[in-house]
Amino acid sequence: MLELKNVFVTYDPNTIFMSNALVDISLVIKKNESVGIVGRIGSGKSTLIQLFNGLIKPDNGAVLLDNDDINSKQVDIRKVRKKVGIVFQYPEEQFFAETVFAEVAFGPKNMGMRETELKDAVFSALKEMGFSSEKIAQRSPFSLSGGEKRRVAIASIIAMNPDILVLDEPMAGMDFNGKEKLSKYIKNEIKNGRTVVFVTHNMEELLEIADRVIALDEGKKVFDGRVRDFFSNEKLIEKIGIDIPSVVRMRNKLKKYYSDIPFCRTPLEISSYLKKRYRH
Amino acid sequence: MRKRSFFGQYNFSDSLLCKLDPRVKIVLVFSIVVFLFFVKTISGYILLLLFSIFLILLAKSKISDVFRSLAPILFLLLFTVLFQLFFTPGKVVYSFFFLKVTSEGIYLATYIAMRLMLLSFFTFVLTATTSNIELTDGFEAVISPLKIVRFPTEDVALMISIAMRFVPVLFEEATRIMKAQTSRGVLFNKGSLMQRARSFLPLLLPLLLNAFNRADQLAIAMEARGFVVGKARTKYREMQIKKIDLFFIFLFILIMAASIMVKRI
Repeated sequence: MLELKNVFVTYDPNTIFMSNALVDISLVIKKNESVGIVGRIGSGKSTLIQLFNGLIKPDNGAVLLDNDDINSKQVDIRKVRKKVGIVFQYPEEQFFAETVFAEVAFGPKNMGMRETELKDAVFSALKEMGFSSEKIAQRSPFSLSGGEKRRVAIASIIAMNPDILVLDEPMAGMDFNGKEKLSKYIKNEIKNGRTVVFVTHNMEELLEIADRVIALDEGKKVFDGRVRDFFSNEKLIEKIGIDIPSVVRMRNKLKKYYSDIPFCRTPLEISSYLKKRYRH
Repeated sequence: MRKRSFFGQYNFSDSLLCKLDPRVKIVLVFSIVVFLFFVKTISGYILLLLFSIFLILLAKSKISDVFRSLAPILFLLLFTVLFQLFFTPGKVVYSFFFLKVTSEGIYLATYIAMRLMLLSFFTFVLTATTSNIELTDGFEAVISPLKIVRFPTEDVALMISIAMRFVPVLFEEATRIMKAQTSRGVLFNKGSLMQRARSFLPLLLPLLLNAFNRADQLAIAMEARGFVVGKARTKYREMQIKKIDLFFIFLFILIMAASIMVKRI
């Protein structure tokens, strides 16, 4: 369980560049949740996720992982980083190893995993990201396609077996096919009991993957709740400048005529509702 | 991203020095820096110090920024001063175990300290009042006589300006990669020297690879906008020597002459 208690982060204090990146943020991320973080560029999303594993220290307030303050001296920060795995934007830009295996094994090795366990961890992480053949492990990570690179990069974090997987815009700059695949594997992670937190600008993605939404605006938390409640709060959505996905818009329009229409995540759900209704 | 102000970073102001011709500024600062090593009297250095403070005030820079510009050479400064102080042979003034402070040592140490300090002050004034573009344009003009021996002055100037342009970009990228690798369990500032050196590989390699990729993209983008290697380019800003430039040339010569001629104390 990850908890933020009244966290403040200020950049460049006491200068003319001073800006409040995060203002009084409190939140709890429980086990097996899937949380989407949304907000404009510069609203503090990246700062927020960097707090999760101690890359940034709060100027005020505390970050607790399983009830221990991660920034206190008694806590081994490596253990925190093992439990909270962060995948940054364009993670394939950090590749440096000669083979996919070495790339994926880098994280768990640093965390002190033994050779015998290492192999299993690497292959199961690759499998979770959709590489069924073990041949991929001996290829150079630079020779892969864009989508494969991204999935290998995510596997390199998953190999550490983190409790919480944090993704900063996992789908940015990918083609349709790559997005489809990646979202399938991320959903599998959630199904298998991993807590997933991700930053996104794409509302369709949010609708598809997340159960809970945290919305930030100018460093303040403006919404924290279920996805369906988020999309029914049109005033808020307009204020933080987000596009409502067409599925939600259609469902909201239909609601005028069919007051019992449930919250739908995909066009399929709308059509099956209508089908059911007209059968009677 | 935490913004950082680099020492000597250009800050635009309506200062007189910002309006000077960059060529003039480069030549003047370069000559006064060389000249520093010919001054032989303390009073000469005091005169130059006052002059540099005058220029700093004229540049409308903050004094704290100026002292921060000393930070990178602080170690060098301390080392040379201590070395001169303790290991110059001559008349012993004070001894402390095996260390002997000599009057010649004090003399030399003060000189070295003054020279290094003034050197960084004058270059600070140059970089604080001249934008990167002006600097490279000025530099190109200053080295243009080398064209006679077929030295590719334009290309060199372009290389310098690109390099300077990408310093902040690389810096930002390095922080980004560092954070990503830290998340994968690298501790950059812990462990033995060997371990630390090894931990920099996952930082430097991606940084280098991305720099090469970016260079390729930049080359394509430049060619797409009509850049041809070796072809003469026209300038957007024409540099012109104005009255104020002549005034500063005169002032610099005056100060240099005065500082060498003031009597030994």
